[in-house]
Amino acid sequence: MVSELTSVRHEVPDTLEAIEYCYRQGWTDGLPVVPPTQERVRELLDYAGLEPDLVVGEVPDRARVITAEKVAINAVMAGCLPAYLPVVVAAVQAMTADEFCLHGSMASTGGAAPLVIVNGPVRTQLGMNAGVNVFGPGTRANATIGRALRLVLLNVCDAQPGVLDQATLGHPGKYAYCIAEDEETTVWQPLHVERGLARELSAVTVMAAEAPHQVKNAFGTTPEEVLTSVADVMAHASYTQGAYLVVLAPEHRAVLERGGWSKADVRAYLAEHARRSTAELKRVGYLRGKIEAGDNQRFPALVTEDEVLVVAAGGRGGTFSAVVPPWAGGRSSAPVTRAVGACVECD
Amino acid sequence: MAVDTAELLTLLDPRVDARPRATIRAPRPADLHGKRLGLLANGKPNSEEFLAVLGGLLRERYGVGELVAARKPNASRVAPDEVLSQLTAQCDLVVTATGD
Repeated sequence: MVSELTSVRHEVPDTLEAIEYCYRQGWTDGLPVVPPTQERVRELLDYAGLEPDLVVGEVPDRARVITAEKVAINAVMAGCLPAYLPVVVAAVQAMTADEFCLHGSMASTGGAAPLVIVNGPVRTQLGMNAGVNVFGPGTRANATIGRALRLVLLNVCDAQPGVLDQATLGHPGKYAYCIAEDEETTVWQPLHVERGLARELSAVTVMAAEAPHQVKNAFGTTPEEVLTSVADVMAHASYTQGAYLVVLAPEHRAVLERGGWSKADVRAYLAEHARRSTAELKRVGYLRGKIEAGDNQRFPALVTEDEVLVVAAGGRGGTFSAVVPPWAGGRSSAPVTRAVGACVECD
Repeated sequence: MAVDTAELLTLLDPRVDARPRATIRAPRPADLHGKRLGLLANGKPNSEEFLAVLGGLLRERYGVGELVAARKPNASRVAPDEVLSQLTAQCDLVVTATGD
């Protein structure tokens, strides 16, 4: 039996007025939203085969229960097509897992955003972008799936800027932050397979992330040379340890793959080399205290090599890659992977 | 021109209210003299230093008794049950503070 949509109704005369109404209610991220009509919301839920009252996640710290109906409403507002809803639902499941520490990361002065990395067949089914301008605009699925998470945070989790969300600066990824992995142009294992799921499944991995920092290396011809630049950027963001994301674009990836390096090799190299001395961290103000004898030990960005996520994505031209540092809360939050379309209530 | 109500759009509210929680407020102490005071630091830099100064002032000015220092292991999470149980057992009142 299909249960009723239970959200409070608001009646407005037409679509343009509905957009302005949503602004007046404080329901938007600052950009116009698609009016969440009951017909459209029902269409998304029907596509995904979800009952509206299904509990997708909870935020115990805020006493909030996130139902499929609320996820669908916010997904409609973000501009999602019905086929995107299962990805949004999986991402909500992931970011409400205990190890993600959603409340801390969304409220923190550190100003992180949940970054969604999509793997598996759903990427091509939805026409997701894993290539040129991967963190940038231009692809509906990337833009609206990422935005749907933000609207869920704003409207369902109460993460209103200046109220619960106390980000000192925030970053542009707080509007939408969603990429796909380029599984087709690499011999590397996709992220979801590395994290224990079958290759034929679709999955999301969500991490609490700062903005991407571009890495340039135009001269390296060996894996070590290219990764030295990546490690350098990681080390200079390492005022906190935690789960970094490294996005390797095709030109850099070609050097690594030619050298026979796997993702595991990349991780091991970065764990060893993304380090800065304690003296240096004290000198630049990341650690407290005066520099003392013995402060030359190398402080790693990664506690274990498994913490760094390595993803293939980006445009074919350009000797760039990217490091995405973790939320300032560091190891308080761990990336979480969930299959798309899996039974929500089965665990 | 009158709006034709048959053509109104019905929007669904995207927000959720907090689930009501059964919480009971403890009665305020009439005075602080001799009371055992818990000082729960959130684990951020300077939080313990701040609370130590505050505890000293409360003792000096209001005659607070024993001070019990406690610390959240993770600033971003609710204090674990064992910390809260310890404070409940050992203190008459608790001050918690956010440092940074």
